[in-house]
Amino acid sequence: MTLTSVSHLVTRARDGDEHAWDDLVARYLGMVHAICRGHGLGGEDAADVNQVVWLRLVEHLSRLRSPEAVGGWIAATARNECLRVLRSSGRMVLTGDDAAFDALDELDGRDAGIDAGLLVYERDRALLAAFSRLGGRCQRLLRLMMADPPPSYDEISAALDMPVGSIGPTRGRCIAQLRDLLA
Amino acid sequence: MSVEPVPDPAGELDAVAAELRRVLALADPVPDEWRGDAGAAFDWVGVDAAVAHLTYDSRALQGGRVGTGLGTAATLRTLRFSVLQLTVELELDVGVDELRVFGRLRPARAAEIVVRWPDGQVATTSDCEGTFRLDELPRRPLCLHVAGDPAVKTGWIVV
Repeated sequence: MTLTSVSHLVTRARDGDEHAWDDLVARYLGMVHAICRGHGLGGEDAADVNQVVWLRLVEHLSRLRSPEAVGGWIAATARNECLRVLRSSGRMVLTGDDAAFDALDELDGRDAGIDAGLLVYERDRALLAAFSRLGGRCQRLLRLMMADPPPSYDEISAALDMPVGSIGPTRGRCIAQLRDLLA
Repeated sequence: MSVEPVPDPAGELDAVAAELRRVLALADPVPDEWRGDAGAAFDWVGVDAAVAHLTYDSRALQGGRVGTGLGTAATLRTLRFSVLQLTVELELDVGVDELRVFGRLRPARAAEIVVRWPDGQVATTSDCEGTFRLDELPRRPLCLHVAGDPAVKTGWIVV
């Protein structure tokens, strides 16, 4: 989906077009899901974040300064809501967002939501097990990049607070680690 | 973290990535109800009222925290929304599973007030001094709709 078409969807949704809203949801729902999972949230916590992200978006539609950047806005909002849930549930004590991702690496339950029982083949289970042994940063990045449809690099940057120029090389390093774990 | 590219002349890493994409889609799909929740959020647009924006939030003064956090003592949070010379002041008494709201309209007026959350709502009326109270609300994202002229709706409140 091009930036122009995303911007057009935002404009139409502002005017009350529910189909445009549904198209925005279809475009970004997988990304929100991946961000929640990357922060170790599952079950009701993740569902609450999803709900709040879309409530916030509908409230801010008319105030978005750059409609073409709505994906980045959704990504950053999802990240902030995940951090809010982690803080309020006492799973993370932070003094500011700068410390967030270091603290996230210490979190347990990064696999929240994954059900290996859904996998039939041993090879797939082994891949999932290897993925769960990656560091938190790699898991968050790869989950985002595997979302359907995959987010843009700008959206990934907003979700992870990572420079766009680092995304490609970091992906390569994380996938290489995964390959080595499987060897 | 290094930003040096990892060489992948044979496309081996891309193949691993493709497998991971397939396995994650199988083992951790987006829950079915998420799409419905996201779609339902759009109902807020259809509420015909001026949007009162948040002008004060006591939580913002506490570094984003409400009191001592969940699962402990009930905590208080004060919010103020304003639009078109109408101000809605709210005091949220946040319990573990539910909350109650003490509210005041300024200038004072008697009005029907509907509190909405994603899958429900409840109505009350303010008295002639503009005050109202709602007990046993679910601990969910909430917004208020104030009937009258002007009709007003607040932004979403997340507790």
